[in-house]
Amino acid sequence: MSALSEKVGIALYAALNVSGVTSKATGGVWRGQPSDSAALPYVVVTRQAPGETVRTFGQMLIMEDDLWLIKSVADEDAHSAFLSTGAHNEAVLAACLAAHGTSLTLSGGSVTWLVERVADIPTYNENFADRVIVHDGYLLRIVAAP
Amino acid sequence: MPEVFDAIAPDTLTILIDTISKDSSGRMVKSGTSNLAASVPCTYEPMPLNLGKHRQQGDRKTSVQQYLVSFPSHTSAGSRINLDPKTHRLVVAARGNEPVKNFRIVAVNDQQGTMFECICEREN
Repeated sequence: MSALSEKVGIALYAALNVSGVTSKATGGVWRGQPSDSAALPYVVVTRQAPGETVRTFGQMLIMEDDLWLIKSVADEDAHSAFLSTGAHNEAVLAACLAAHGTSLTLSGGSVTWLVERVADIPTYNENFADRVIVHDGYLLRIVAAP
Repeated sequence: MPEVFDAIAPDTLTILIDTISKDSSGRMVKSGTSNLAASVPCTYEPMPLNLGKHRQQGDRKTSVQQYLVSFPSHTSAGSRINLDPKTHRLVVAARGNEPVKNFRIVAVNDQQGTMFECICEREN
């Protein structure tokens, strides 16, 4: 992972780790893998795929264009009371969209000039013992410049 | 058989039923639990030759151990317990220093209508 995408990840986590999200995803927001003790439901943020890296003559980095995945993970027993798991995930993801909006501020002199939601990912149901863990999320396109 | 278990089993369990319905958008909702039976005498032990395992589920690592939970098929009042592994859970009550233990049913083995030997999983 490049130094620039790491800064984007840090900024994205900071934007999502707010009460509007964590009041619903009570297990917290995690980059990459949640801790073993994290309790569902939670939000997972990962860099999904690299995009274009643009350099000038002399290999100077102009911008990086990556896809990020923001995912709400919940199971039948660990979600908002009296909501279906899918409805819970929808509420969490709506809160995530509101939290990061269409811009991010990076530290260390880097600037994001475009943040765009690309598409929803298909719902993924995962069997676990006597219940189902449901993964819902969306892809975010973030273009960052150093 | 309930009397036999009463005499030999140090623990009791409650059988929880998940209340499952459908919301207006067609999604399944679990809206609470109720008791199928309570204070049922029981024994539990790790499954023989099962050393437990780690699984990557829900994007995180979970430790799982299989247990054999045994209890009579009838309550002390004589009612037949009809178990459904899909919607029932077993909760063993606290005893002394022992905390409450939650068991997720994987499969129900009905021993000729006298007792259940449930294969269960206990997480983390």
